[in-house]
Amino acid sequence: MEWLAAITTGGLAGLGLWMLLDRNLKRVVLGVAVLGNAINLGVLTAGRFIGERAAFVEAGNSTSAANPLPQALVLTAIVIGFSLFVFALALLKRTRELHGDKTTDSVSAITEQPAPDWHAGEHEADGTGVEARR
Amino acid sequence: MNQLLLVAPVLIPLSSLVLALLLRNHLGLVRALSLGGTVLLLAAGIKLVWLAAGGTVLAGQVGGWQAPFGISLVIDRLSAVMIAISALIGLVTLLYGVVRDSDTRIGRDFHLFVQGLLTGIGGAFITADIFNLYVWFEVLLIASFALMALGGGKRRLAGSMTYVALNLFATLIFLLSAGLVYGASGTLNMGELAVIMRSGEAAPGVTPALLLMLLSFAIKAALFPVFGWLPATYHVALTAVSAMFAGLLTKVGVYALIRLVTLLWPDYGLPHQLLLWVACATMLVGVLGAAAQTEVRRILSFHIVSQVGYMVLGLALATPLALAGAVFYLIHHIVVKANLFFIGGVAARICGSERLADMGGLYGRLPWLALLFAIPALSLAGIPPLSGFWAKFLLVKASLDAAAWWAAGIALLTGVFTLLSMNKIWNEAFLKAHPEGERALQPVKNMRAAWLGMGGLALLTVLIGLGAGPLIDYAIAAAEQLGNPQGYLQPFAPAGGT
Amino acid sequence: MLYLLCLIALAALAAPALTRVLDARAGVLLMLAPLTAFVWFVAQMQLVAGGGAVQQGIDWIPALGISLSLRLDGLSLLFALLISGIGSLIVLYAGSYLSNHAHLGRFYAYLLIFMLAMLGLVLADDLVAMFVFWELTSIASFLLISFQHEKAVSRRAALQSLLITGGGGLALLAGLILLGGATGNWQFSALSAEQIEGHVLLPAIMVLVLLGCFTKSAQIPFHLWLPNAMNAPTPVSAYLHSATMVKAGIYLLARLNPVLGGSIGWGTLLITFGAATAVLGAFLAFRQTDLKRLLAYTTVTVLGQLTMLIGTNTSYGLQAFVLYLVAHSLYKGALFMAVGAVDHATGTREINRLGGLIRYMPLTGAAVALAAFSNAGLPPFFGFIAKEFKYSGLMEMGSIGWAVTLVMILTNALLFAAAGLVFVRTFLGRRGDYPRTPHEVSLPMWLGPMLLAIGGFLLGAWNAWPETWLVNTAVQAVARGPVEVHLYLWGGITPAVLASLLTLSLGVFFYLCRERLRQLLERVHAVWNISGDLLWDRLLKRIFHFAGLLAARFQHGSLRQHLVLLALAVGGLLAVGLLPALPQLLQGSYSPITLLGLGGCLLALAGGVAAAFLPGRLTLLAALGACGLGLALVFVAVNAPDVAMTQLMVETLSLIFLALVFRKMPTVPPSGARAPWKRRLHASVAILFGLSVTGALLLAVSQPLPGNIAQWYLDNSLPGGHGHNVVNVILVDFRAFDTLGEILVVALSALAAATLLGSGQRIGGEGRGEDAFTSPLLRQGLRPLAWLMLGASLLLLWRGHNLPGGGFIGGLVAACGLILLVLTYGHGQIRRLLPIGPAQLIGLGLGCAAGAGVLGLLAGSAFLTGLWTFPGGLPLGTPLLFDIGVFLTVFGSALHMIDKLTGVRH
Repeated sequence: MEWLAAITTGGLAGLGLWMLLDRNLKRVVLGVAVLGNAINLGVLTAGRFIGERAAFVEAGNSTSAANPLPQALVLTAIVIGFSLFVFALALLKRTRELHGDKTTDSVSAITEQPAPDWHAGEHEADGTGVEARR
Repeated sequence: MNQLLLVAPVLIPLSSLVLALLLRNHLGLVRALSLGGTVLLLAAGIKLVWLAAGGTVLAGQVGGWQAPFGISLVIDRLSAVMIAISALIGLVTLLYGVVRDSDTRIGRDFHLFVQGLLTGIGGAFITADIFNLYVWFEVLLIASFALMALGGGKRRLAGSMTYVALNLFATLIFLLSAGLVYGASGTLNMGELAVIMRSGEAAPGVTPALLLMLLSFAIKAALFPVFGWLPATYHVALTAVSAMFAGLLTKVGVYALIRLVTLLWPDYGLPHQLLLWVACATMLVGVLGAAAQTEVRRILSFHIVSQVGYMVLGLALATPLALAGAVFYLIHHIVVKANLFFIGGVAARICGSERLADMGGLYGRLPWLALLFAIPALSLAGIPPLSGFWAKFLLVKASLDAAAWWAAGIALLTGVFTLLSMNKIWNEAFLKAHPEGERALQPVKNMRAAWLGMGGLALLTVLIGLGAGPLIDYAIAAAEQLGNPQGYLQPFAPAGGT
Repeated sequence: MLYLLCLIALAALAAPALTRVLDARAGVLLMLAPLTAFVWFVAQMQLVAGGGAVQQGIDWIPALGISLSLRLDGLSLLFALLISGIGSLIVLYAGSYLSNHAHLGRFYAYLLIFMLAMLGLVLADDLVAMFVFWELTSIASFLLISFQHEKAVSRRAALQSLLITGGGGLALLAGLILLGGATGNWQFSALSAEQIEGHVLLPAIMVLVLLGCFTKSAQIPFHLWLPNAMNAPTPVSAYLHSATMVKAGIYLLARLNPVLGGSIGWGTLLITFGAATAVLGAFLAFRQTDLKRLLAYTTVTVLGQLTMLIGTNTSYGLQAFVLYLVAHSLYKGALFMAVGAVDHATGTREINRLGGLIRYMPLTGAAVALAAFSNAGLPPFFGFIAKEFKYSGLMEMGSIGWAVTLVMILTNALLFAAAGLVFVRTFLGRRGDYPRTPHEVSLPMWLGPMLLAIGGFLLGAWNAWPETWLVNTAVQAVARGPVEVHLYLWGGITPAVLASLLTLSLGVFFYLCRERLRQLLERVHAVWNISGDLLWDRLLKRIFHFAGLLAARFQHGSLRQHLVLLALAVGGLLAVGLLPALPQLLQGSYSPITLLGLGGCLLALAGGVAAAFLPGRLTLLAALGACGLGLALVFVAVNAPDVAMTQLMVETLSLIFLALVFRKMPTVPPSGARAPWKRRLHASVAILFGLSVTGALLLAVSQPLPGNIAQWYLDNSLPGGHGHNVVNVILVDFRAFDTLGEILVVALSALAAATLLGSGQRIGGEGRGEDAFTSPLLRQGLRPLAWLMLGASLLLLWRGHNLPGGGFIGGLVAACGLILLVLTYGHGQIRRLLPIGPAQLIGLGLGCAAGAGVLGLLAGSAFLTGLWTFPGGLPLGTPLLFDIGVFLTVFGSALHMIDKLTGVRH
């Protein structure tokens, strides 16, 4: 089972990276999710798939249960991944609102443009802007 | 008491975050909470440094579950001083941020996320568990995402996109490597891992997994060749934010590097060789990149890269003196770099732009600002008797002692170039007359708090420089501790079986 | 001595304020500081002349054996007197030279800081302390050169001097560190030649130190910064760039001569570079028509000669060195100040426009005359003795000496001519055409030159006095062995005297046919052009160009390129790390493949592929869902029910959010819309990445899992954690600290998303939900379902400790239920339904979880320690409270997210 999971992980990881490298931001965001899935599976796999039953214990009987630690880790990782994914979604939504349907690079290229004049910059900076409030 | 102190770096900012959330509709309260909380954190940090200086290593198990099953926490000299300095920078950031947090929403969120960031940083500094470190990295990461995007605007949003995408990738790599390390070594506890690595009986999969982890740290620390994300994004955030990032974020990566490498590879080995090359490349590329920039914050951002190189050089040389140098450099750099971002921000605000070509005239009009800038700038360039000189001195001496001639040469050369690009700012923004004449300079109002913060940091720079003795002693002691990390290894001493 | 330094520092600090109060007159007050120092140093003469030395010091960096220790011996005393003496005059002078200048206060401050640094430099006995002051002088000089900061040319000159001296300084630093390391101590006074005799690093040390000294003292090829430094106000040129700072390098050479002097090459290097510098300087000087630049180049010459003299290491040579050092400082300082006065009075420094000034400025003229005589080396001036000794010193060396002597004669002759220019051409002869009619300058401006020039005369005429009080000990400090010192004006007809005569006649000759000579030099101007500045500018340009190229490599602004680099780094590193372990990859003993697992893997991969390549929006949603579902199946197959449930709930929520975001967006084109080469690159990177990840995993699992951690959890879950569901017990108890951080991440990301979308967002329509959910039937159907889910979530939370479930899953389920309500009835309902807003809910949850931990602290045990009570055998403990916190946080976060993601722009 492990090798199968490993291959799946690798495959998903590759696909996820491919999606991250897409020019369409929506697919990039999906890529985050896919890559996240891949890594989660990977972490669980690294903990081996020993044991025939889920990690529930009755008094005095704790043998042959699955390794609970990686499960706990992955559970944590899944939730974290989920919240990061949601933030990415929000970012996508906002980008769409501000930049329209630009491609990945054409958005990221904006950061290398010369800095705007300070008033402009600050006006964006805090909703109403320092100067504006004076 | 110690149990409380041990978790204080997480608990204090977390509680102020919680309270701020509950009272989020009263900005005044939120502000007071976050300022007060940070002051408290600073106090705790100083107390921790005090203890650590006395040689006590605080160590404990969360939930009282024995290592390696429960999560171990350790605060040694390095962690302690990092906690204190982060609290300090956080405080100054807030002081600076107070200027512009009068817009309720931004102000409130600013405080919330700064506290979140401090929580994550605190956790990263105290934990001795790899997966736990991952979690705290995520905390500070998501907080930094929010801060990076804070203020909105097209440019900033584009920056956040780049920042988020690249850092998400890095953090996923970290998660993967954590899983691999567990899968190969069967433990997540740094101490036990150290025992395994030192015993030389590590499974074949451990070293690649650890190297992967180091790489993920290297990305966070912005080392060559994977530093691209930093100069691509830092200059778009709010001044206060980018200053805090510049001071703290990459240093958490450096801290993690120092921690893991010193723990797992006590003697000079493969990682050190790799890091030595990387360090030299980082120093040079960073400083040359800075020389090519034409905006204040871009220059400073590239300098972060080059100076991270210095710290890693200290780590890579792996002699006690070199490690001490790295620690000293870490402290000095955080103070100076954050301050430069703050001052640069003020200068840009006064000149109405941070494009050097459109700045100028500050030297004549605002001598105090000029002085305020000159102190950290010269310190950054390693001019005596400021803090930067001793940092450089230690590292150069260490590399000369270690017969790493070319490393020393590069370190010195980098110093010259640093001077060159610092002079660029000085020349253009301060000495040169403002292209639109004196009238173009607008005075800044209601920034008393910010001045206080910046002045304090500058003063600290001078004091560290003039009275370097105690701090260097501390750094040397910290380096010794790194060489002999009892706090981490003690639970796994032969007596207490793992 | 430390007090003196402090006194000067105080003066520097007080200067700006003081000047603001009583502008130029402040100089008189400030002058007292250096004057006090001067007097004190004079008072020390007797002690020092007796061979003693004043020592004082405080520890600085005990850990490295570095101390701020000062030591006043002959050499230091000599310099200290010059620095403080000339310094006081300069401060006075500057007051009237720059009177009514806006930044006079700043100027005083810089000047005094420099004085402090320079005194420290010559007094310091500690290598590092000396270096600290060394760099300080560079900085002060930088500030002073760029004093007229709005002139681009001054800024350029300042930067040039800073980079050259600073760069040299760094070399010096390396040299000093090596020296300290090699000899094992950081005190000049403790250094000795034996300590490093034949040390392997000796050559390196020597070269590095020489680099530092040569850059500082403007030896060829580093001489170019000095003439440019003349953009500074004249007091600065007079003080820093002729009398004191440029001699710092010379000082260090002299200081280290006893230590390094014996080593091979030292003498040769010094003499070669010195001679070359002297000649070049002399010729360049002769080309100048600007008095100040002329003096600057003669300074270069003199510096070369001094270097040369140290290199001789003969008794006469070293005596000559000391004598000439003093003589030059005196007359050159005087000349500079006088030229400044002339400039001040006539408004020009052009030789051709000057002449006959003696009528207007008799006092300045007299001063210049005296100084010029000393400069020209006429008896009975101090310069004369110096010259005699120079010749004798060189001749002592034998054959090489004679060769060098010729150089010396030539340069001296040129100096003589130059002196002639300065005095005869400027003050005698017919009246020049000045921009404004000159007038005698005020007392502070002629006093300085006058005193210095007279000093040069007295010292020469009554030379027994300096011999006993100054020169002797200084020479002893420089020499490697004891030297018998005796000064005289007339030693009979010696070769030296003949040489002097030759010099005089040559000098006169040069002066008379200076015009022809100048034309001669102009003819080879090509040489001057390449020399120095041109190369400098080109070098800087090259550096910036290269830097630009380099930076462009990393500032392409393309997110995808950044990512490719990262992925390549990861893949490459892993690949390299894995290669040696390849054979082990497939030896692992693997658990059997279950049908469920296989199906799950295939489904996940299929979903991934679809998501990666297919166009459309719904397709992508479906694909992502399939991917997640497949994963969930795998989790079930490997006995991880909790993970599976979490995965399912997360997937559901993600899809809902995704749908909410996507529906307002245009469709997604099929993937791979890239340039072919780009597609190939990305594909190969992705494949490399995937393969290396697989490989790393296989390697990690190739051995059986070491350690006993898993078993420990299984064994202790029930007795220690009072829970049957080990995974949940780990989450809320064993590793609750992770979970605390995790829910913090959830909370922060919800808040972050809110912040991001907050601006311009309005909560969706009150009372009414999404149009898609308006059918009454659906409404009727959904309401109970939603409530059911909310109930179920509480159940999950409660039983989570023993059966699949727990805070996360509960929270997620509850969120799903609530989202259904939101979709059907809009936010208005929910607002009414919930007493507090989502943010407060999050706060409450976090507080709950953290509080559960703090209870442990209060109980005196570690943070997050579980406290249990058993009312009726029912285990209740803080971990449950913690889990409730998790529930609330997750629930609130999901709610917050949905709030914003469904929000509509108005």
